[in-house]
Amino acid sequence: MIEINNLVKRYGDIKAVNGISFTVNDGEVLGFLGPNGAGKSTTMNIITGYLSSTSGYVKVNGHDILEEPEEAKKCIGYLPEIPPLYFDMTVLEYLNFICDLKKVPRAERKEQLASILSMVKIIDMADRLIGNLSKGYKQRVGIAQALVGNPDILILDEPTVGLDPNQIIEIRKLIRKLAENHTVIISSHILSEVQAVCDRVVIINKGKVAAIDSITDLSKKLSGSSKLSLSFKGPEKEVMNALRSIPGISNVVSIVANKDTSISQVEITISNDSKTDVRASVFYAMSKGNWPILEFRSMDPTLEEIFLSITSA
Amino acid sequence: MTAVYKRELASYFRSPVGYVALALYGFLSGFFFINQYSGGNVNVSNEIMSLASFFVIIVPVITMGLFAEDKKRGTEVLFYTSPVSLFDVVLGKFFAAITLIAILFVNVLVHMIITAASGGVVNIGTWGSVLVYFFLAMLFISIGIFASALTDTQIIAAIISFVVILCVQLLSTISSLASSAVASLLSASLFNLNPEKVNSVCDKVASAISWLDPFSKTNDFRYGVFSISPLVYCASMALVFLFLTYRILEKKRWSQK
Amino acid sequence: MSKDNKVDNSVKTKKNDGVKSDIRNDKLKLFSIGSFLILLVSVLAINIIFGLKINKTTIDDYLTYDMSSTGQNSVSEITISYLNSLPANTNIRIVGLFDKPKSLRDTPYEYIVPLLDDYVAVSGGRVTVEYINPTTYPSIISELDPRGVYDLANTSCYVISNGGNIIEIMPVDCFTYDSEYLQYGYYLPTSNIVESKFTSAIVNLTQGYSYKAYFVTGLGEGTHTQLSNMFSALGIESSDIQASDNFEVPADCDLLVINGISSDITSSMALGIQDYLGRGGKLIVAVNYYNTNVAESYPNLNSLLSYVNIRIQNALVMENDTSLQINSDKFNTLVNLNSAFTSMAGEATLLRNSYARPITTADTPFAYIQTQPVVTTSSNVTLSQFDENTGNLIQNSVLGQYNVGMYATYEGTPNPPEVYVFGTMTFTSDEYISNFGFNDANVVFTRNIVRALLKAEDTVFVEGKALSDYSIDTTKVTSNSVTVLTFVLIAIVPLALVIAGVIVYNKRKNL
Repeated sequence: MIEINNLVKRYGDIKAVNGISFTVNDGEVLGFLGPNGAGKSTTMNIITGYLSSTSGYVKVNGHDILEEPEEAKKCIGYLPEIPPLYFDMTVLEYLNFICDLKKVPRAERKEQLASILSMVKIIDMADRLIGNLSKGYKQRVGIAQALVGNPDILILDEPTVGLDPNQIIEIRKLIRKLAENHTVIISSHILSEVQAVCDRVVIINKGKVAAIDSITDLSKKLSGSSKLSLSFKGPEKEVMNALRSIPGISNVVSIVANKDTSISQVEITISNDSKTDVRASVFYAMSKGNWPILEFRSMDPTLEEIFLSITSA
Repeated sequence: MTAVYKRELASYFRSPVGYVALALYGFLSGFFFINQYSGGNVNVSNEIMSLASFFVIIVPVITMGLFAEDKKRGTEVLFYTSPVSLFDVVLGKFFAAITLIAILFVNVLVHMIITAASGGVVNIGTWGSVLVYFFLAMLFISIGIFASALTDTQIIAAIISFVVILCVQLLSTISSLASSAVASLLSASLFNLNPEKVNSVCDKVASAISWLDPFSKTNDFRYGVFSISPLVYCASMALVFLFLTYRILEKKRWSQK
Repeated sequence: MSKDNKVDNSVKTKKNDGVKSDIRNDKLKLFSIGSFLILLVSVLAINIIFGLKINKTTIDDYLTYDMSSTGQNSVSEITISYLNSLPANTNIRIVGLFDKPKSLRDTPYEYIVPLLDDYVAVSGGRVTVEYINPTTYPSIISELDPRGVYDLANTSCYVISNGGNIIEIMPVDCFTYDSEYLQYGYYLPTSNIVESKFTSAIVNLTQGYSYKAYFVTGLGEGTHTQLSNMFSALGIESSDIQASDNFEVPADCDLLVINGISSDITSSMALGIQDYLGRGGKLIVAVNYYNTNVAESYPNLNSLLSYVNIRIQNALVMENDTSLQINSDKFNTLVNLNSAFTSMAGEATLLRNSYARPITTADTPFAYIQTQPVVTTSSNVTLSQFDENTGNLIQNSVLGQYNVGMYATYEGTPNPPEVYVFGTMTFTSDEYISNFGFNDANVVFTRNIVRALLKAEDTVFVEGKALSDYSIDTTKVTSNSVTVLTFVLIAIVPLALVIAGVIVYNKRKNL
């Protein structure tokens, strides 16, 4: 269990972290969500003992990270945003070094490394030079490094950033597997990623907690303010009027209008209390008017919009 | 500490750096040795002391990457977030560099064996020089490690340690320069000072600066005269630099920049 | 609603904290800087403590140990016990009239400067060492030598000063040299007599000279600097006494030395010296058979020596026993030390001998004269003589055993004369002492007979120290082996290491 209380980190006059408090329960997967520069990495660095906080405290399984750093650090496996890899070592050499560093007893070492290697699926890469691995594999080695010493808690800072979609899916799978017997904190600036793996989300912005919510509550809130984007061929005004008349749609705004090709794009806002799926209604309305739909998709809200919607709610 | 020590020592020999250093050191010491050997007179102390003046090259090369590279690659996070003390990390890297020096020094041991086998002298003075060599190595390596912790660029670290070690090696020259500078300053000033008084002030300035000189302190070891204070000086100054390095690393935790 | 509360809370705390400075960071900063400063100050303090003085000796000096086998840079027990026997308020000032040498390596100072530091260390404040350059501090000259007796301004020497008297010592005089072997334009030092010089200077300044020795000069003899050095170290002041017709041995003469004269003394001198011997005088005579004196048969000297029943023959000793020859030279050989004298030459029983005259008894028939052979050849010796007309050596084929050194004294007399006569210069010449150093068995023997003659066995005497000899065994180091070693050490080994590096790099690169 991690207890974070009123954490502040100042850099000169700027407060990178400004009074963050939350608790991570055992066995839960917590998403740490926020735009770039919101203070995610700083908070994680404080939790892992890399940085000291200006005020407030972090307790890891009851050990204060500043007062009992060794005890606290033993409980944590950390993957920083840039995986701390030595490119001149092979995977096995590197993991053995981490075992030394984390004081894993010699007797347990072989077994532990074998299970870690199979869990993160890098057995085939064990004797390869880290510098020669692909980005996805490097990330796996980074995760393997965090797993050494069997910590209860894993803290992964932006684990999928910079990976290609296939690698992202693989890493997410891995995280879900790890979540079975670890407490996990994942930071991300992508909502869908957090939604995909987390039980609970802490959203921070400008160094402050904007919301703490379970992923289901959050989805509910977000669905309430969801938007659709529609591209079509046809007279813009007529279409917009037709759309506005559909029950459940609160607003239609024009985004692009090209008079020569008569192709337009509009943004449809769905009202909060709508119980029906407006998408079917939109389709029928369009087909009735004989206006071909060129593209129709739901728009992911930006983080700023989420904050707006959350804080305004 | 052993984790960092083992990694750093092995990393010297994972890349060509360790081998090239060994080859260069072997060539250099071999040259000094053959130079004496072919003349029929071998004083290994002379060879060791000549090699000691090459610390200014060797130490920056072997210490420049110790912390700078970790900072650049982001691997320093490991030290901050693992259950180890940062001072242990510093010590681990320090002893790895010392051990590399010891491995390089095997060259000289071979020369000592050849000397003894050729009916030459390997006496207590030779061992005194060996002792001094390693205490000087400790001092200079701690300076190199300190320089490496100041920056995340290896070259800058190397330049800093090169300059600092060069200054230490030139302390006796610097002391005489400082004393003549003070002399010209005092005699040019308006005080109508007795020239002997001026000279005594200059002597004090010079002796204060040369007090710091580890080379002049350890000069007698090569004649078999062992003394505690120069060793304490080298070791304690090394400790100062290592502790300073530790503090600089620790600073990252609380620094507001 | 709970989340809203939390947000509000954090905002509030931020407002409360906002203005306050970061106490925790300040603490850490203070701890960081403070702990470093404490360490720095304590390290400096420890190092400075070493320079502090207890009983006028620095702690550093107490913690210095000379482990060299010869103790090159430590004063010996003899000096220490002498210094400690002096009153505690004794002030012996050693002043080097030059800047303290910085680089000692390969200069005479490498054995002088550290040794003098050790004098200071062991003397309990009785000895001080300073380096004062008279060009920067001109007043030092008149301070040391107020009467202007010495030419101190122009010599880079050490001055030892005590009670208004001074003795100067030149650094180059602190060593004995092989005068036949020039190395880099300098004579090769053979031994280190730094301590011997300084200690005897201190002894002679503090207690004055105990004895007086006179060297007979003006008879084509060589110099006697080294013998004077040795005498001085034994507390014997040396003076010269010119050969002349109205020669008289001074009344204060404790020892008369006739050393390597190449022409005979006059008959009046013989009488004067006989008179001196009659008063219980001590005499050392040494002549050899070499170049300038082959025609000299020393009739007057022999008539003097007949007084103690000794005779120097006019012939050259040729040793035919090859085991005693040095480098197969029949004239440079080893001679046996008579068992009565063995304790006086250290461990040695064979001493060196060069172009020697045989020493025999004269036919003086008085039973109270006791003569004893000192050094003797093998029984395989022939004598030869140089023929002035032909320029050849005329060899006598009769084999025999000869003495090349003899001792004579009177028995049953209260104050008997004592005489040592050597037919070789290997005990007393400058050349020999310089080449072989103070620790050579011959020189040790000479020193001990002087002590025995003067009953001066208890004088403070510091032996010379052998210099470290770094030469390697030339029989093992042929030019071939040097070439091979050069090739291996500065070509093959480094190359092999570079190749190893390349292999490792390539192997790992593709892992």
